[in-house]
Amino acid sequence: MSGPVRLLDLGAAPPLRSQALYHGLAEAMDADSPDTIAILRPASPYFCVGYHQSPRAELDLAWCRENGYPVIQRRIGGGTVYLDADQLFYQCVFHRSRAPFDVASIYRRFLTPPVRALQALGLPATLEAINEIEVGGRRIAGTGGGQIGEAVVVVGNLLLDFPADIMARAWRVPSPEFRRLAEDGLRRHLATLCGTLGQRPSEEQIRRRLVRAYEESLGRSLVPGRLTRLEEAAVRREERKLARLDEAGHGAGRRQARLKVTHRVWVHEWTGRVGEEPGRVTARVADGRIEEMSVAGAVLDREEAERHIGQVRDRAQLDG
Amino acid sequence: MARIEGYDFPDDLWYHPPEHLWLHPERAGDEWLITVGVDAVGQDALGEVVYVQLMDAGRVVARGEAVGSLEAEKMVRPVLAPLSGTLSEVNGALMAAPRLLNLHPYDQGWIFRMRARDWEGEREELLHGEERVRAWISAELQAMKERR
Repeated sequence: MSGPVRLLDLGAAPPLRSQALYHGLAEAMDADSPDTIAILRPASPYFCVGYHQSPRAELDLAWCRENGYPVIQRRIGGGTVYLDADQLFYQCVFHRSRAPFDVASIYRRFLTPPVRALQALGLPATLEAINEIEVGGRRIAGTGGGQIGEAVVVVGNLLLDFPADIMARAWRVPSPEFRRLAEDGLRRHLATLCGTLGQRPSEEQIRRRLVRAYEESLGRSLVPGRLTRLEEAAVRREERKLARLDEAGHGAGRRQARLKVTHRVWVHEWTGRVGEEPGRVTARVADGRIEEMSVAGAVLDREEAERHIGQVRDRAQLDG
Repeated sequence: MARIEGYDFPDDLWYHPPEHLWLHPERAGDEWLITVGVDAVGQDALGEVVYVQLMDAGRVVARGEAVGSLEAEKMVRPVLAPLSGTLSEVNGALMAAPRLLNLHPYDQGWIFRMRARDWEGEREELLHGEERVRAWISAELQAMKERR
């Protein structure tokens, strides 16, 4: 099928709807359903946890509640993200028979248009490591994907602005040093449209660029449409499901002492004993090299501290 | 062992084309015990697997029902039962080290075992034998190239 793609240009949507939309579209999809791209932004801030994660291991849920941030666990992949009105979502829901089979090709098809849209706005954007959209080596968008029912789903969020302090405060982390290194990592390794362009681009301009880039890249026109009654019911069902957060989720019950800031950047922590003394080494590793390291407790020389970080990093790589 | 465009397909296995699963049937008394994993083309298409989550053993499942999920490159996919039956064992080592699925898809990377309810009946929808597997994979690889 090479007919038009349905465009749902939705403006601002409440947090639950901004996630339930693609879940419901995918659940309702069959081979006769239109392939759909939705463009929207969340009306208010929230956190969103990946399918194989544990919300309570990822986030300080009490802090999120106290500060009015809803937490939603999506059924597609990727990590924990902070989402708000300074981010523009693109959500691609295509029937699996009309999408590539291999994951790398799926991402190439659906993430090349946002890259081209950024380029058209004057940013040197590239698609790196299969699914990371970067500008000058810094990530400027989040990505998640999945197969739900008969649909292949790829979603992303372009960062117009990003509050690193809120994301870092919400993460459940093993130590204050870990949090500091993670927050600094966000500031150094995330890019935003506002920061890179030196001004805020109009949302309408970005939407237009996105639509044009999808049309050119897919070779199909995007035609504004709306949800069918069946799809609307499916989205509402998904809203009800997503509203019931299982705090344990599907992942391990506690955070392991590592955190992915971007695909290039991790924070690792080692704790143990040096003789009788407890010690802790926390490090941010970028492109395989220690960018910043902090040592607490027992006195360790740099070589020994790096060796401990190397060991926890190797173990993390083995575990995936 | 058939080697097709660089991908290995052991001759003793049966294959489930829609999900790129392999099945290894073994007689266990008057039952059939089936070990299931992802074939070489399937694991390559997934990319680096970082999570595998499976239901507990003992669960009765219908053919086509999800028995778990896996995630590679931020993409979550369901693991579907290729047959009806009862999950008898899940690979705990794989859940602890998901990369086994990429590194050793036909041995250490197996996903689950099930007692088939009707192996003779449901295996009609599977492929077996070098000639049939070779024809399927050659066509599949061509179709994948066209869909990229």
